Amino acid sequence: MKSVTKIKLTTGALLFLGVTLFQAQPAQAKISKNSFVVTKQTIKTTNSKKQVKITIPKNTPLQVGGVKTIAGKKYVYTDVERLSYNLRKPLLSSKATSTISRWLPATKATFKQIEKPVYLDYYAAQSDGKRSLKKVKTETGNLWKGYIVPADYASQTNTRIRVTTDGYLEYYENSPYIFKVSPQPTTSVKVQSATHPTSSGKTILNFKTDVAQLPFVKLSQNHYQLTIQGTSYGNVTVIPNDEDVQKVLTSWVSRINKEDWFEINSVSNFK
Amino acid sequence: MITTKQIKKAGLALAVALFATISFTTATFASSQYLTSKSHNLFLETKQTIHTTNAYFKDIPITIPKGTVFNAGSIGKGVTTGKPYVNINMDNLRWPLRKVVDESKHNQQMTTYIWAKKSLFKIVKQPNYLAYTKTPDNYTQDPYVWEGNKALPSDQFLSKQNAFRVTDDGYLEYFTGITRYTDGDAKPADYAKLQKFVKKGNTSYFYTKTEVSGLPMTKISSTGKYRYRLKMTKTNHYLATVNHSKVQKYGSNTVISVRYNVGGKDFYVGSMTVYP
Repeated sequence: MKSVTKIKLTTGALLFLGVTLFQAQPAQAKISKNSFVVTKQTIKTTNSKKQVKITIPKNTPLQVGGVKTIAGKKYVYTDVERLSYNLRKPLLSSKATSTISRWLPATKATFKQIEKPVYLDYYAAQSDGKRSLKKVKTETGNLWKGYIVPADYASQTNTRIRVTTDGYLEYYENSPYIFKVSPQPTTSVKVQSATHPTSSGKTILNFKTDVAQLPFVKLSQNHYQLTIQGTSYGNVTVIPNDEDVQKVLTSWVSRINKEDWFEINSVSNFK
Repeated sequence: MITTKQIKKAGLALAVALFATISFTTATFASSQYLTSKSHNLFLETKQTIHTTNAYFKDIPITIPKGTVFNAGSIGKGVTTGKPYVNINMDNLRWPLRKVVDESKHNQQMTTYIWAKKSLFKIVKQPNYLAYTKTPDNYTQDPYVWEGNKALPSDQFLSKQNAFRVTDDGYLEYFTGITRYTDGDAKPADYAKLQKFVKKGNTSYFYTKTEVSGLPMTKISSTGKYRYRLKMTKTNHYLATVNHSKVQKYGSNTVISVRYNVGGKDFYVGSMTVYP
């Protein structure tokens, strides 16, 4: 009884303050692929190939990359590439050939299930990896400047932004489309809070400072806001060309201050 | 005095009697009289000549000979009676049979309900000459193989094109001047009964006794049943038709076509549509 009241108060307090970073799920919710958890203690582990050490602090939101059960015990892994620079830094070593963590025991002491953080609402995080015939969704949250991925993307670079699972907006002035793990961003700012007003398609991110190259709105001395507007527009890129299809990428368009940014949200391989 | 034991016994007897009644009622249609199948891609063959009519209007007598194979889709259940039934889509059968509905006032290509009786139909496997129409998820797709490079853009979808197809009942038909929206009611420019069908990997061979003019067939004999042969090879060559939305810089979908080499000419079949 006591614990229930406690949870209610916390959620209520968060809502009252208008801060909705993440909310606790009821105890019986199941941890599944693409769901979100928060660490309840510091996790010291390695990448899946045991090449580099990874440390994930307490209170870090993570997305579950995969789940397995052995002898009744559940294990999960997470893709450390989706986390902020300080956490993923070890993956930049040439020794590291995988970006995912080892299997971590999914116990109540280690993780608590949470709802998807609102600052991730600008993309369909929970659809990542979903397959439909030849089409596989690639919802990684990376937004590129423009409205369509070029057919020769493998040799191209572009400006990129994204919000990491642990709540950092990262800006890359010049990023190749293909990368093993994101390097240090040009600029990184921590998300203080986020809202996603119903039916607006807007993900509104609040910060204490801004990123000079992006159209932040200054609301006060310590309050800057960036709005990512969802649209119903997208594009399809045929690679290498229309007369010889090897793969097809789809781009989903968002707008920031009326300028187009796109996410490469699926790949269909024909050869 | 009635004992508890007697009540229990009576209750059990009553339950058995009720159960037997219920079973007997449903058993009528699970009995040997009617066909049962859960398939959504069910092929049947007529065991006798069927005299039926077009659905709803019922003003055209339709005759389907014994030995006709057709795709029944799935077995339906009569709303009031619960009896299993099928409808036959005449547009999937050869021109001499479907002509009567396609040239009629109402152009209603479905027959009315025909009870799915074992005396009328037998379940058969999908004929191998229709294998090229199968999609990965086991639904039958558009059976037309279109003459040309790749799917036309959506704003040209009403353009007239040439195509061929094989009907459910094994006839090779060639069409000139049909659109992608055809639902099978067009009169073929020429057609012939399939005498033999052979499939070796990605190559299919269609054999007929008479030529289907317009199709790049090879004459292989002057006598017997197998005089003309159409060779069709599915290639690994995919082509894309990008359709743009009203705002030109955004796309609405891309249609992927698979190239088929038919008698040395480029034909294509729609593979999948990719949406953003």
